[in-house]
Amino acid sequence: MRRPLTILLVLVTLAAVLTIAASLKAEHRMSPMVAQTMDSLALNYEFDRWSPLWARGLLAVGLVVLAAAWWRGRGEWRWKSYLGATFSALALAGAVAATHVYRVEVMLFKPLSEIAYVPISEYEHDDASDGPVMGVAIGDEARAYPVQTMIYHHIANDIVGGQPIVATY
Amino acid sequence: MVDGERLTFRLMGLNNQNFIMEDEQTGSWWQQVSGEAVFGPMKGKSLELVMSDEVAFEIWKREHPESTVLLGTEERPERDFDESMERLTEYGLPMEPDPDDELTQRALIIGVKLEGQSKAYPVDVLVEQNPVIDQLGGVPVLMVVARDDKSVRGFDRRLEGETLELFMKPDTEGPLVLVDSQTGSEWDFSGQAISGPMAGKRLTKIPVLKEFWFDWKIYNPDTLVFSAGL
Repeated sequence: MRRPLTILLVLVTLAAVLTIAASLKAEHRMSPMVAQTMDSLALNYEFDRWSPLWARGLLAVGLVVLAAAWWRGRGEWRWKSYLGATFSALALAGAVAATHVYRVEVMLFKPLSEIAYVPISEYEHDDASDGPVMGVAIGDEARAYPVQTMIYHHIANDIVGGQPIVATY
Repeated sequence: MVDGERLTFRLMGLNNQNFIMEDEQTGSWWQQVSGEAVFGPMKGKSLELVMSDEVAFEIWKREHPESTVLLGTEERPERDFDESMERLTEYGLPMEPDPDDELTQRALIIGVKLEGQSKAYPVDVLVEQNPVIDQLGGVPVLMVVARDDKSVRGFDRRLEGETLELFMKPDTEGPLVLVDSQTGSEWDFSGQAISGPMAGKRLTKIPVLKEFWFDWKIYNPDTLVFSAGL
């Protein structure tokens, strides 16, 4: 009765530990100045593909539930209770590490929710705060992307002169 | 647009201060600097580079009075532009400086890639020698800096079978004027001849990228460096 639960607990714990390790690794890609090899990027990519946030959340919750069940059942051995508590703490740490990566991403980078623009004659340009512009002219349409705005948003999916472009900074 | 599919991008992460973006359609990861897909279903494909400029607002406005300007959708932090640039440079660097480098890692350069050859033009050298006439990958090029000492453009110097050599017209007020020694025509910063036998003709722009030296070198390890007095 207890044995399958224990095995399951061990497996889920292993998965949680891996998740934590991978999360911390994935966080590296958020660090602007860490030199990364293509291999570590590949790991990040795979991690991202196979463990969306909900999967990691589920894993963490499942671990806490399992640990709680195991802890209750084995209450007679105190050291195992401590072990159970440790698993729970690990699970929480895993969940925090996993969500942290995503929060940093949202916090640092404010994606443009829509592309809005004004004629250049109406744009209030302040050279000190706006800096230069990135300019694109395709066909008879021209668009300027103030660098300061792009430092903040980084990516603009746009259409200029009928051509879909992505402006990046 | 790749293979007839229209992709939209979001930011995925940073690597060596150059970011990785993900397209929402296939989930592939793309390297910003090269426009190349490095992971995912689109791996190996490239985005086509659109010719763009990084110039002072006033220059763009003068040349494209009909242009529109992108608005940020969220309140952008009120900050001085130079301050923003300084904040960017506060990060540590991903690698140790190369003792053989004649440039500091944070030196601003203009990177040009033509016919498989890359070259870095240090901005301060360009400002000093403005304009620079050079060759890269067999292409005769012209690098010119506007009056603000910041806006830089590159051009192919070949036009109608001629390879032009251009020089700064001295003692001019207002926007800079270049003169070519082959026809004596005068040219403006947009690469258009404004007077002389070539009047109305245009030099072809070449893609230039303003970058830190260290970053350019990571993605262009075989790059040449333009040095003064050649």
